[in-house]
Amino acid sequence: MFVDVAYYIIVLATLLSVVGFVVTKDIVRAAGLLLVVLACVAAAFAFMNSLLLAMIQLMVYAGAVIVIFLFGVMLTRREAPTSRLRQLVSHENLTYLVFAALLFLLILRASAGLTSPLGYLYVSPQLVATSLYVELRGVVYALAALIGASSIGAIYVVRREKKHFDTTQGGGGEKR
Amino acid sequence: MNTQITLTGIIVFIERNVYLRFLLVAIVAFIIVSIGSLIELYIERKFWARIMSRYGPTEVGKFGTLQLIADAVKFLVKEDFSPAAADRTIYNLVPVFSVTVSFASLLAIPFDYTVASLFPRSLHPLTFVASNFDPSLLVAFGFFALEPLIVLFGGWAAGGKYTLIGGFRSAAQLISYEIPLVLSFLSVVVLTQSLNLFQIIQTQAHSWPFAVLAFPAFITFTVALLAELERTPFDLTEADTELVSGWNTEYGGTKFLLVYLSEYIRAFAGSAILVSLFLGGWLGPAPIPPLIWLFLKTIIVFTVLVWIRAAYPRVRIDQMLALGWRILIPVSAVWLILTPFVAHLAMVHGALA
Repeated sequence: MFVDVAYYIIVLATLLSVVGFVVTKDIVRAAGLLLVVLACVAAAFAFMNSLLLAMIQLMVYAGAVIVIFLFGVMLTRREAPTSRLRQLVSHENLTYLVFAALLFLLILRASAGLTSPLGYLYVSPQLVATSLYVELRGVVYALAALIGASSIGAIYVVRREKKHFDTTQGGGGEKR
Repeated sequence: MNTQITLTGIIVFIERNVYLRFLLVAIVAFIIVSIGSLIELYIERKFWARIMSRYGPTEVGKFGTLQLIADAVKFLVKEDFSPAAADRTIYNLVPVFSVTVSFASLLAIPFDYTVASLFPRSLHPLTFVASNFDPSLLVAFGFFALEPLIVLFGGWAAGGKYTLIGGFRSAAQLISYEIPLVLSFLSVVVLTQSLNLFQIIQTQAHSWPFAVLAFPAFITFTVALLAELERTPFDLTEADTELVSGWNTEYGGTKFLLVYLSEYIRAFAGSAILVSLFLGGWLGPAPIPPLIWLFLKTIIVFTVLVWIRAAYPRVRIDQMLALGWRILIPVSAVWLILTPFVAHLAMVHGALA
């Protein structure tokens, strides 16, 4: 029970950090939140008794890859264009709301019909995972496709904004 | 209702609960490291004072013991400030994370076994050993690997150019010297075929100490550890004449105390890992208990590091890079390749169990 609650706290921290990573305006803070995500994934591996994998995750991804990101990011002083991209990002409250609603619905649906010693108040992560990846795999696949599509859309929007920024500001790319 | 609590009952309860055992390890490690860090600070101040003819640390109080209290009081009563350009959230979090990560690397060091072995054998001390898990060596280095990030964030969040440059230097140094460090301990892993520090120490009970059997790895590990701990001659990250104090320039009062403390905790952890890997950990002649052996060896290794710090001048950045990439990495890599042959020869001649 204690272990499961700790696991849920880590999952919650991962999800909140992921959302924060996407919507934050400060790029160094975004890297920091990505670090939290990777460290939480390492903790999740540790909870699944894969300590070796957890430590590799911590050393390679959290420890080394983020350092490389930070080296690049901290040496950059590029001002982000204050245009539609910024406006898109400013809808962060809506993003939080939609994300929370989707997550709540998914967990509610995944927990429905599952029995546990404490009723609906508490369902073990194993049961929820089984329900998610077996019974609701269609919804999970649809969400994964949606995330993939939004990533591609984000790249498209950023490229268009950059082109717009370069032509209006007369910049040759990076502004320091 | 039978509410009688027996000693056996408590032991069985602790044995069955792995998280409780880890909590016990954490408490034991906390106490030992707190004492160890204080002794380290005392030794460092006294040793430096003797070598450099400074009067304070040798004269304040009996045997200079009050100097530590004077230092602590000085830091605690200082004004708590944040630079105007600082990112306050990260700036305030960095000292706390620095201490936490430094402490976490100690969970893998078998202090709990040494404490448990103080009790009679009838209490089955081995069943209490939570640090006896498989990749415990990787756990220690996993948390060591997080330090460059903390340093980078600390340097950036303070908002100064010295802190940022210090942070970059520090992260680059820590990352580049992790390679020889890992290559060196891998040769011990090859010799013992284990990533468990507990088993690595136990293997040395029936073998020669790995400081002898894997001498080149011992030397490269020690030098790389000096660089990892950012101690002189590798303290380019806080080169006073260039960077004021490096990434922690803008930290003052209690926050600096935490940063300072984390540096000594890391030094203690690093020394304890070196002792466990190469110098037989808690192993020693019987009248002295294992806890004292492990502690004593760790303090002696730390004293040697302090001696090096006091005796050598700071290296230049090109010398540091040349030492790392042209000497330490090739030597440790070649030794790693030779290790299986050495292990075979040692087994044939009875030097390795």
